[in-house]
Amino acid sequence: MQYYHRMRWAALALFLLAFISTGHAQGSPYDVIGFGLPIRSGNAVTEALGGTGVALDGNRVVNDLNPADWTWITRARFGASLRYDYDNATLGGVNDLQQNVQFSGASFAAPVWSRLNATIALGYVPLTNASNNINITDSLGTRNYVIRGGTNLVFAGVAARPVPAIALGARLDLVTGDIRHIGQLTPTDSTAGVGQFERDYLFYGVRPTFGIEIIGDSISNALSGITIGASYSFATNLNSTNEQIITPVASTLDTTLESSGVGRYPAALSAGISFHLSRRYRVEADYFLQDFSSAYLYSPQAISGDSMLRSSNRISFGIERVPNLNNEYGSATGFDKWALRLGFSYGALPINPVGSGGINELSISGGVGIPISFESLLNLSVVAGRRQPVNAGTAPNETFLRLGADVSFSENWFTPTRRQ
Amino acid sequence: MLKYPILLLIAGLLLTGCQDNITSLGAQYFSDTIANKTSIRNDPGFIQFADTTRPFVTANGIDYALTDSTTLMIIGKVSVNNENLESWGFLQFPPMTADTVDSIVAVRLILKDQQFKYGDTTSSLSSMVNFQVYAVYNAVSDSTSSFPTLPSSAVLVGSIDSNFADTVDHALPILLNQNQNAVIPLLIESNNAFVIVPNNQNGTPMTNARGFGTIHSYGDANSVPQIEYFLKNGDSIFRTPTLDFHIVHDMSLPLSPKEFTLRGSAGNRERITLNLTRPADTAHLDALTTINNALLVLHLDPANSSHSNVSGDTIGPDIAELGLVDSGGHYDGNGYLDPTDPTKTTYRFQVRGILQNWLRNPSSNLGFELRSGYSARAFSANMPEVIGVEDNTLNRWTFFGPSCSDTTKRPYFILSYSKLK
Repeated sequence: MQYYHRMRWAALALFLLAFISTGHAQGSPYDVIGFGLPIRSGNAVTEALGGTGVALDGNRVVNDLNPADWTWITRARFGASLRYDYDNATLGGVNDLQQNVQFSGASFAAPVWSRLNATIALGYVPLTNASNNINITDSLGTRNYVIRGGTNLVFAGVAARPVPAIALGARLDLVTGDIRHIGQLTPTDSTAGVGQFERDYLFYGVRPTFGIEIIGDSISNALSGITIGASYSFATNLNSTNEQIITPVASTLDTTLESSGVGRYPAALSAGISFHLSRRYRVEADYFLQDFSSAYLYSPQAISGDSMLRSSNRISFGIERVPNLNNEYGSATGFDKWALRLGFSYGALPINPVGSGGINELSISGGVGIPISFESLLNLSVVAGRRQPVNAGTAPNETFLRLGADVSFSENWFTPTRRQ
Repeated sequence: MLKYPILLLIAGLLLTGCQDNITSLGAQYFSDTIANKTSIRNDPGFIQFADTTRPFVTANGIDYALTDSTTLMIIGKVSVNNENLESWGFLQFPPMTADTVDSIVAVRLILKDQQFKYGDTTSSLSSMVNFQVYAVYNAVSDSTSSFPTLPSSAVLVGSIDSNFADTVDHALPILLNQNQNAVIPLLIESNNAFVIVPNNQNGTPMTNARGFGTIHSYGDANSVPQIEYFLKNGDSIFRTPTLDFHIVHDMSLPLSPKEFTLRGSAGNRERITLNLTRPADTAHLDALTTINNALLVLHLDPANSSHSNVSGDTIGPDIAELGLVDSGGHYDGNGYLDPTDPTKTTYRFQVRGILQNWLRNPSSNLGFELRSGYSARAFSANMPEVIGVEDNTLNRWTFFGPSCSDTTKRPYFILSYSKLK
């Protein structure tokens, strides 16, 4: 009973925080480029581990980096997460400080066939964030732009281990999004009327994602504690629509024009290796590659790519003390049950402002996993980092702070099908 | 464990409450920006002016006098400075039976005085009325009748020449027993009317035109004009008109062609057309353009302008967007005096909404008119059409036109517009 009580409060807190996010549509100045800045993961576990998670070998979350990792899920599991972003950008004498709270994903997974560790999963996670607020004031008036939205991933898939040492996963991804550019002009002349403009980019495409984990424990003692993982998401052509809405003087004069076009979202490859230093401590290193140089959000006809986008990569490293929820690592109480996580990452972002040479990002991260009931965790993460152009002074230097929270809780569903 | 989600919630609230500093930093990477521009336009390729006079309206295919449904019947004469006009009142009553008429010994018209005065509104003479009442036999069927001059059949049947102060009951009696032979036929048959004109031959000439109630003065039953029949037995019978209206004769000297004038009740208007989407136009306005400001600026010629004593008439002229038919037009605001002009002669007209609508619906761009006033009236009893007319004012607004030799007094447009890049 107390378990449900806690769950209810946790769910309520997440819901309220999600509600707060409706008041903000802010972010990095770089968020307005292309699809926006990429989001590493929808869950706070991966965030705290520097973005690693391809070879996670199960951590009581529905892994959105590698579907093969779902084979570690032993009970039906729900997840929901939130993210808070603080972006402090500076260029020349201009300082821009924006913050944002966003719903950061929801997922569900359930084991369906224990002999093969088969698990199905579905969920939603954001892939990019395109939120920013821009204010421009000149002698004619003030122009305020609110950019909100981003790229989302809705997925459903299945994972299994045909042999104990190999976990395979396949996922069908719907890459979709609605990036809204809302502009409002307030003329200086008080007799003049305001004008509101909106250009929305709506898009969707379907792609498959495949994942694999090779589990050293099941191969030989020499490889004990080692897990190698990789996943690959295919590129997808997008059906993109450019919708322009003009709202002048009176809303009855709204004008909406829709133009159909195409876009392209690139393939993504990630690979990683994790190693258990001891029973509770593990480390992981990942490499992620996604070439946005041929990607674009919208064009009436197919084009070679968006000149402001480029190939991105990231190398990340994480170390974790895994949680000891049910004393599986020996008797523990209080803080000793918690998961502790640290991470580091460095990479090239997919954005490439003219003359900047590209923008790189360096970050450190940390987090905890707090048991809140049997098999359920409240995961918290904090990521602090810096984005800066290769050619100094050509684009904003940015310091960012990102807080994440997710609740991953489980139920003992579908267990009648499980066979020991 | 409950403390964790609560702490999370509090932290979220605190963080999102932090002070933001929104700047233009992201603008350099943002392509969907708004371009806005302000320009002064008076080029004839963009804006054209045309004088127009329309003393009637067309409802259900029938032309009616502009003042057919007015709530104010204006009668009098104004001949001061550069102005010379007369306004005549027309009243038609339902016919009586011959038996009733035989018992009538006297008749009088009762007009209900209203506050409206145009012309001399300051001296004691402002209360002076000097009317003559003519009986026009078999010549007035409805308001489509037009009388530039009184018809030869008109017979003088009454007059009044007195200092008529505003009274509590606002009644103006005009005795008609001076010429029974002329009056009696009007009482029996239709197509007859009484025409009340200012007396220019005898007595003290009028120095203003005065407003009286009409059958359309729905808000005040006491304002409806009446005819009272005195019978032989000492009784009286009252009847209200079936038709009343007024016709304005503007005999003012012609204006310089470099000016245009708006005159209430006479239908003197200025039609303005705008060629918004001319391909060669520098503004490149289109359906996706937002019109932030469209101010028409006009300079008044005070020597040729005047307004009544009604406070509402001191506001600037009205703007009426034109439709394909008279009932298709609609009111779109009024002009206002530019408070920053020390000479108090600059008027501004905001037509932002009209221009925006025309850009969205180019076929509706039939131009707009400046009128001395605008009141929505229902014309035609059977299938009434609501038409906006300047029927309850004589206001005269004269502005300098686009060919005025003083270029600073020419009309111009302040046009501000914006669109997404």
